Amino acid sequence: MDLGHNLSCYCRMALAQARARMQYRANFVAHILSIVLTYGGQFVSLYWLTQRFNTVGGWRLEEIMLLYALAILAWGFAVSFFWSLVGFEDQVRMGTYDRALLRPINPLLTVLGSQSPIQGMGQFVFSIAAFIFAVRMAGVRLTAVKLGYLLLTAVGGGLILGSALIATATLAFWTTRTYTFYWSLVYPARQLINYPISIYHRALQVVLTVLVPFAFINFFPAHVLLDRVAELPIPALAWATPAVGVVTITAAYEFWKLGTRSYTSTGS
Amino acid sequence: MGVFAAFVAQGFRQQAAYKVEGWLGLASSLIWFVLFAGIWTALLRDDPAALQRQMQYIIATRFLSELIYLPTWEVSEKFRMGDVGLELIKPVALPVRVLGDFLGRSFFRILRSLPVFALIWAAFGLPAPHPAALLLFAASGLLGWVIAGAFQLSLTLIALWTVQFTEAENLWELASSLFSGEFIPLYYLPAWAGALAAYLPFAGTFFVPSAILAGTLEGAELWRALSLQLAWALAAVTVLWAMWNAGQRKLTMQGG
Repeated sequence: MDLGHNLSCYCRMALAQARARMQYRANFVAHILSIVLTYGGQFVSLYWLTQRFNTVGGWRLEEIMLLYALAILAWGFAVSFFWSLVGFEDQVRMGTYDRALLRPINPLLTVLGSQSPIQGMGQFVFSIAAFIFAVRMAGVRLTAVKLGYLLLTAVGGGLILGSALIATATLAFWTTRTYTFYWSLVYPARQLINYPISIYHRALQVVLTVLVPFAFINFFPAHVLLDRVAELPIPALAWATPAVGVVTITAAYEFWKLGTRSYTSTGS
Repeated sequence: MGVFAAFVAQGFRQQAAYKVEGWLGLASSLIWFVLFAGIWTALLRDDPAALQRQMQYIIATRFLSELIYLPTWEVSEKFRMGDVGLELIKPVALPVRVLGDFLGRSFFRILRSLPVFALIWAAFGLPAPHPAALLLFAASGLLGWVIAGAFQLSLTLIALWTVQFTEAENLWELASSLFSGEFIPLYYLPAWAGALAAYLPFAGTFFVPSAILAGTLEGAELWRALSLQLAWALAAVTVLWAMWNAGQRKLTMQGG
């Protein structure tokens, strides 16, 4: 099965899902609004904190907002393409994953194509607003290089988070659970990077750089946008997000392939 | 009361059966603790006394978040699928069964996490709390559970009229994240927000019990906060009961 065929099938499925989603316009708009409100609440908390204490670990409000914007932008990509994996346990438990195995495209793409690719719209709306706010307040000079890298970072960050979701879904082959793994581990771990990781214990900084490389989603690339690359112990880390994204998604896909070997359909 | 206790016991046993969830829940609590401890250590680095109080406060809020675990989405799902019709023919009212079940599951969660939080308390060298403070913390924590549980279930019951309606619960979550003190204690909020939050029901869910354990709520202020908490708990139960009684007559059922 060649890549072109797989991608064209995926696009057709995803567009059909998007059309289906848009049949419920009011519901879709309400969903976007609730996402923006939730992030808005986090922004207000952060605003109040920095009003009272000025900085968090030496980072000002606008700089932390930049971290937020990058994290949510990457999450928007991840939600758009990988969110169906969070509910993958239903497909394993009910045996409906069989359907993906019978289709003439990569089974993972069938799972990913079972959701609308405009799912992350709320995240995009908020992250773009937060980004504009942060860039203006922090006086960031946006050059073509920075903008280009920002785009690559968003994709790289989306791949890192997508890898976490693929790994979560893969666990369902052995445990028939994904929701619990997502809400207990991935969701709180994502919140850790809403603040500069330099405020945490050094051991946790290593974990967030090497084992669960969420720091590449926003902390390291933010140094490029803020012209603070030289402050990092290893400056090259600031430019590594796209590469880390490719490495993690490759590793996650290998793990997925390993997991599929353990799939036993219900009743077999 | 006996029926409610039976559902509490059943919820406890049910939660005990889910071993993987149990361990993952504990891991989740630890990640949240690390997040809050990291932020507040960065903020209060220059004030060791305030940092110590804040660490006690954070441990209290993390412990309470295990208690105030209210999976109301399970009830929403019953409304969406039309299963609520079956709820009406059962001899015990839905709020009694659901809240009893939730409380039982919460009891298991807090029992499981108690040793871990006690260890963290000791590892940070925090002073042992006064037995009276512990007792008040337990009582205030339970009142907070009643406020959150009864109000949130009331919001879920709006679906008796509308089949699907989660927006009200989202708004509760949003207001709670700002005014409950789960993340920022009320005394660190801007003056106007802190003053407003003290009178809202959210303060009773996290702030009041946590401030009691951290020793930042004492004297007349403490008794005033507890009285307000009790008043909100009674109001929440009244609202829930009224919603359930009115809603049964108005039920709109999926497929009906």
